[in-house]
Amino acid sequence: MMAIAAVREVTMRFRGHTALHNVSATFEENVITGLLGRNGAGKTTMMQLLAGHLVPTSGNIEVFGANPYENESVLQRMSLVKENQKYPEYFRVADAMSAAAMLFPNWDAGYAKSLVADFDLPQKRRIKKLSRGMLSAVGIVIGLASRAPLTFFDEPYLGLDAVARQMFYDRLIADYAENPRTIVLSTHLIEEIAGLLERVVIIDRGKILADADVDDLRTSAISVSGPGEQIDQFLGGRDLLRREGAGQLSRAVVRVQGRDDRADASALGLDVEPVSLQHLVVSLTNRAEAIHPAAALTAESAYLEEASR
Amino acid sequence: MNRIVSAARLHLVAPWLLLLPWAIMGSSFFINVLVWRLADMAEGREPGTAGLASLYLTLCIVYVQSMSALLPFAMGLSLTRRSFYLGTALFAGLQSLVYGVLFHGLLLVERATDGWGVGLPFFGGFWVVDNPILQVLVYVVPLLVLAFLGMAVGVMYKRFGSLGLYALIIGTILGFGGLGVLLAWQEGWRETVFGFFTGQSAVALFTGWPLLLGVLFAAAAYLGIRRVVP
Repeated sequence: MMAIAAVREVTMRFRGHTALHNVSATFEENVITGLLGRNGAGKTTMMQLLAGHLVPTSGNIEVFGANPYENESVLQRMSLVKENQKYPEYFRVADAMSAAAMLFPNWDAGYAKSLVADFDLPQKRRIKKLSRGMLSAVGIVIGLASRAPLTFFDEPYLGLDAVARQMFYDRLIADYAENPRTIVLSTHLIEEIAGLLERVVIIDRGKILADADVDDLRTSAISVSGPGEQIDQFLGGRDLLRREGAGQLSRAVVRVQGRDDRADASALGLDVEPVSLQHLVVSLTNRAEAIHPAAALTAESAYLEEASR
Repeated sequence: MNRIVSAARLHLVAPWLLLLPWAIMGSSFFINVLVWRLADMAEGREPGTAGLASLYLTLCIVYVQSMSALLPFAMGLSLTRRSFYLGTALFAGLQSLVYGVLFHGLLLVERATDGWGVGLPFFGGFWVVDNPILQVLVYVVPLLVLAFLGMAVGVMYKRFGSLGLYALIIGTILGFGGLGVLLAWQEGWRETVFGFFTGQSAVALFTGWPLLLGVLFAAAAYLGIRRVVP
């Protein structure tokens, strides 16, 4: 797999706060990557840097082998759908579509039309008058129909109901199968999109907690449940990511260390289950935030380097 | 180059916006015709009305909005700031040229109808010169200057927000106000300044000097746009 976009040792400081601390991550070609993290973690900043909308305080951004800032040949192959995209107040839905048709070399007008119909978007209505969900749908249509080799969706579903979100996921995966391209999707509805993702970049408070294959990440931890005493016994010497519940109904998310983990847990009468992506993200994020920030960085990156191998 | 032309075409996506300055000028024209008819103003032969200025100011505002509203949208469609700026400048040039030619045509109509039948010099005034090409330039250059002023102000707004804009307004008032105070105080300077302006030909006053100003605004807008965050 080839990296199509990368941030290298990037720090982004705004007046008063640092959004990204010395961050490195890569995005692989023709893969759907999830950019996951809490609100304010730095997801949007990362995408704005990759799209050349922001210039990093320090570090390098590389997209299609070049710096994207003011780089026409890079940007022509890229599409960024932002949750807070602004439209001129007099633009109608149809105007936004014809503008997009002018600027995206791979724009598929027929596909855009069918998406507009799927999302029930009124062509002649001014965008300013659309509901929040419809406004999001305009961005989604532009993002999908642009067929850009590198497409970013930054929390594109605000205000969309569950049915419309599912439609977005269905259209995305169907079109991706026919026209493979690199897609980066930032979201905190992890459960909903877990099935779409091949890779994830997990980010928390401006630091990368993971940059790994979803499968590798999932098998890097297990969840054991059962009586608290047995769990305590099982935990001895193991790396605990998260502990929840109490008494007979305790549960722990533990980093996998070797082949014996499952056998040991079963011997103690504990139930062993795989960890869902969402549960893993929550565990990692909570742990990173519980430990002292500086310590969290080294401990987590050491662990995650291992996980991503 | 392709992208620059596409950026220019973005301004045509909602074509009625091009008519807006004409609608506003049209309302000013309509009122002027009424006033001149009712008040019989033609008697005194005023040097002209400032009605045409309404179109110039509207054009300026349209270009403020091109930076405050259209630029963030264009960047959302993966256009570089530079291409958007150059496309917008190209469009402003073409638009000003078309407007200038139309004004000149309307000036000829105005002359042929003896001021729209009421002696109203709306397109004419002290800026009229004999050479048709220079006359078009006298119309076009100030249009361009105001378009670039609009772009510069719009970029300023995108970069520094409404507080930046207020600071700019306050600074401009203090600057020009201070100059006015100075002139009111020093009679000799006042005469020099007035002498300078009255000594200039219409061509210098409406093309030469404004051109310098326009270059300044264009440079300011270009430098400012490089770090705009949509």
